[in-house]
Amino acid sequence: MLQGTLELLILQTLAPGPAHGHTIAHVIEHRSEEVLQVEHGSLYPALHRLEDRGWIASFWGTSENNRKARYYRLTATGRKQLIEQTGRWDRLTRAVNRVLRPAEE
Amino acid sequence: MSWRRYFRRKQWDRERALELEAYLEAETADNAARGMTPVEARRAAMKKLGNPTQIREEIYRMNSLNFIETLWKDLGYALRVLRKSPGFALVAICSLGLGIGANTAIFSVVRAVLLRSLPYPAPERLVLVGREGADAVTMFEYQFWKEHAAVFAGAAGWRGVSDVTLTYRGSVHPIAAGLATADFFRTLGVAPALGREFTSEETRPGGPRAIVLTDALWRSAFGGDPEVLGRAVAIDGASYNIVGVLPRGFWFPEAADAFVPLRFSGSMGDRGMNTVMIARLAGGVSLRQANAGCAALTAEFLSTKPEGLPAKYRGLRVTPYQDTLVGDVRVTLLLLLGAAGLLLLIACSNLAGLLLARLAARQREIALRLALGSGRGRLVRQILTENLVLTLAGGVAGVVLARWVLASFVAMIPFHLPASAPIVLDAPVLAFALGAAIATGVVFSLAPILSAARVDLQTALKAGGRSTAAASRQRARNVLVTAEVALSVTLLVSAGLLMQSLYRLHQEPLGFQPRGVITFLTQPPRGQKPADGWMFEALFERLRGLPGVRGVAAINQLPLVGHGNMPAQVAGQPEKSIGGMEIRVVTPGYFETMGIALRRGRRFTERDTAAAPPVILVNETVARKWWPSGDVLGGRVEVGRFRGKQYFDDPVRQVVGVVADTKTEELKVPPSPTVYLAVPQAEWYDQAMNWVVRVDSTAGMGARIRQAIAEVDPRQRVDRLRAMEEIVASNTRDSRFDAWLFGFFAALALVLTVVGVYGLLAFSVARRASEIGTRIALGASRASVVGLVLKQGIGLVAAGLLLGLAGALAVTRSLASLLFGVRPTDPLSFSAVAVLLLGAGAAASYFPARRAANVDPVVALREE
Repeated sequence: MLQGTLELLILQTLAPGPAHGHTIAHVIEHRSEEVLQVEHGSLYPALHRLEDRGWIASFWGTSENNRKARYYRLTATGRKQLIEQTGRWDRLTRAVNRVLRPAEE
Repeated sequence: MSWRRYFRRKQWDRERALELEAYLEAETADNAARGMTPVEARRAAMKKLGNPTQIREEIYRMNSLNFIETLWKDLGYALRVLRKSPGFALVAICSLGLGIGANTAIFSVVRAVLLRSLPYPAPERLVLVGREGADAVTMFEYQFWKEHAAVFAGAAGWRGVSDVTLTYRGSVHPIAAGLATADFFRTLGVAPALGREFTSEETRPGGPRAIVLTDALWRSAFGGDPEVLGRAVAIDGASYNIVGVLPRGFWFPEAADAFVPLRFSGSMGDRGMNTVMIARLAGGVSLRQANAGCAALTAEFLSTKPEGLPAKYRGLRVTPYQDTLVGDVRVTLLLLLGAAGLLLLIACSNLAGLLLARLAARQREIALRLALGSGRGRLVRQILTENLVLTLAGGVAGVVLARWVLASFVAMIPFHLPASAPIVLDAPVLAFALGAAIATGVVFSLAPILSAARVDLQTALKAGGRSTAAASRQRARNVLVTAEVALSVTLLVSAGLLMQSLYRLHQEPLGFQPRGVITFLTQPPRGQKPADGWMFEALFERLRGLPGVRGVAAINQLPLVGHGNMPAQVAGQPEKSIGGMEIRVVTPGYFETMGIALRRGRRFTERDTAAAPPVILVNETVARKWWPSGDVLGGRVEVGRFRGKQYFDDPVRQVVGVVADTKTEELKVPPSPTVYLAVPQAEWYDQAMNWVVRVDSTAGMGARIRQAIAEVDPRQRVDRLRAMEEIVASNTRDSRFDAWLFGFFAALALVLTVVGVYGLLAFSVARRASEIGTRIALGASRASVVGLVLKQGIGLVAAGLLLGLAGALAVTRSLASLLFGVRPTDPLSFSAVAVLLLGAGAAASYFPARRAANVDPVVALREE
């Protein structure tokens, strides 16, 4: 996965509502139809980084199967970042596509 | 990175562990739902998660603050390095501790006395009103300016304290009573805790007598009785009504136990310049405006035709009250702080030199670290950390030292410290000590850092490599030692000047023989005066009869204690007038008892009675001034007359003798013109008398004298019983303190400097061992090798000496106010310091030089 992509995906995953680490990984894998495999070794450090920047916040809650789990939610800053980063991602992918498939344009 | 998380990272890590565990469980549950066995499900989950410890470590690192990690490492390293050289650490911490301790102790006094404002509301608006250069006014000036000056919101008068006896319900308390006018406390901004202050009715002559108690006296003598208001107490036999009690913690620069009204009756005493006038500036009035407002009244005041003003009278001006309180103390304290600062700088240079030497020894270690990729910035930080560890330890030692000596140091300070609160090591003082320690650490790190940044890897890594860095280090050390010598010169010269002053002060002729004289003071009983023969007959006989007593006499004012003057002139010669003639009233036998020489004519005898022709004795100063041709005997003097105008009624007296000058108020000040009257012929004198008793040995005499007086009259109070030598000694106390303190600092500076020179040369000889060996092998004589080293050492000292003498010449001028009989540029002190330092430099160079001469060329060359 590209640098920074994971963070964007985490933000997007949290947009509808709070989720814990396992769900986040699961959702990303599921939505990408298992194309994107989230390495858990990088998921938690990425979550930590985002929290450090204040884009997401965490709290302890109870999971669907009644277990203690750490939930993450998007902060106001995080929401702004999500919009901004999504826009940047769009521009980047369009640019990359233009380079890769010039004939179709 | 955040500090909060840095300090909470342990807990953070535990949370992560929990979170990862929760993940594993969720994943395991998912896998199990897909039909895996529990063991398989768990294993698959773990495989997917990866190494949880590694994840936790990564997050832990993210929470770390890099520089703190390095700091800990540097600290640990610094402590290891210092532990390996405990001698160096001890020397460093001790010298820094001394320097910082001395500075901290003196700073705590400076803070309490100079930096803390007076304990009154808006203290900056309190001013002292007085003539230029004088801190008191006459009663006429006080009354006129108090009434007319619109720049004051309030003004009050104060006339010092006197020792009185307070009697309350049969118990007797000797107390110090202050004389103050109405509005005194209102002007200061202090309201009595109980009752009120004086009314103007009570400060009018003949008005009701009132007294205001301090909290301490109220508690000690009245048991803190809240019903005390309105009760009567007796002060020296007269009845006073208690009208107020001051709040606890009330402070006034002159300590008093109680206050009684100052009443202006227009008596001789009121006409003198002896009223201290304190005023509070009106709102919005600046100092400059207040001065202008005071000056504007001068002409109007002169139009009231006031008496006894000097020819060039310029009216009154105002000075911030606190400034007038600290006056001379400020100069002395700042000089002491400066001296302590110099000492610290010397200790700093010394340490910087030692550090450079250590750095040279560690050159290969440093080069190795650089070669292994350590950044120079990192290296600088390492040096800085090491030095700050040293100075902070020195700072702690200094604070401990300061705390330990502060009380005795403050007790040693002979001059009055107008400190409104106890002198303690409080937070600002501790901050000062910490600041001094850190500044010291940074300052003496500079030289090593600059030289470490220049380490040349290639040469440094070679065994015994002599690099350009080493040469520059040597230069840096030379500079440091030179600076050390130069700074010591200032301290040594100052100490020399002060010690010379002290010596000169001791050499000052007193005009009398203090040894073996005991003095004390007695007040005449109410309504009596010395001329009535009050107690004299009985007491004289009793004291004279004591074994070991050689002579007994009495005088109104002792030499070196105080003054009491009146105008006087030669009868019929108004041009020969002295405004401040010291008047002494003595019993016959005073001059013999005190050992004051008779220069011409005769002394007083028993025949100089009230009925006999009025006679007078003059001191040499008066004789010289009024009768320069020597025809003094038979001269006629009028006491109380000035330039023809009579202020006081006293008969014309004939001069019958001239006695030697005695010091009047201070040892430092030349004797004032003084005339002597015989007690029976000074019927107007109704104040206390000081007794002088010449004894064979003062030991135990004090108690015997007290007992003898009690036997004659048990009610008679005896005050200030002491040896005349104590009075003389108290006059040299300031000079002794200055001389000893500066001497102590200078001695420390000298020791540090000698150590510095010695260390530098010893190191230089060790470094040049092979070069010296070669010289010897090539035929250089031992003497020439010794000369080589001596030349280096003495050259450094001489360079520092030149710089220091020039610097001292500029600095010692500020000492002028502490000096006596010696100029700040005194050539003797300067040359003595030069000789001393050159001698010390030679001694410090001698041992390294001898070691150089003993270098074995074979051994030295083999090392190459």
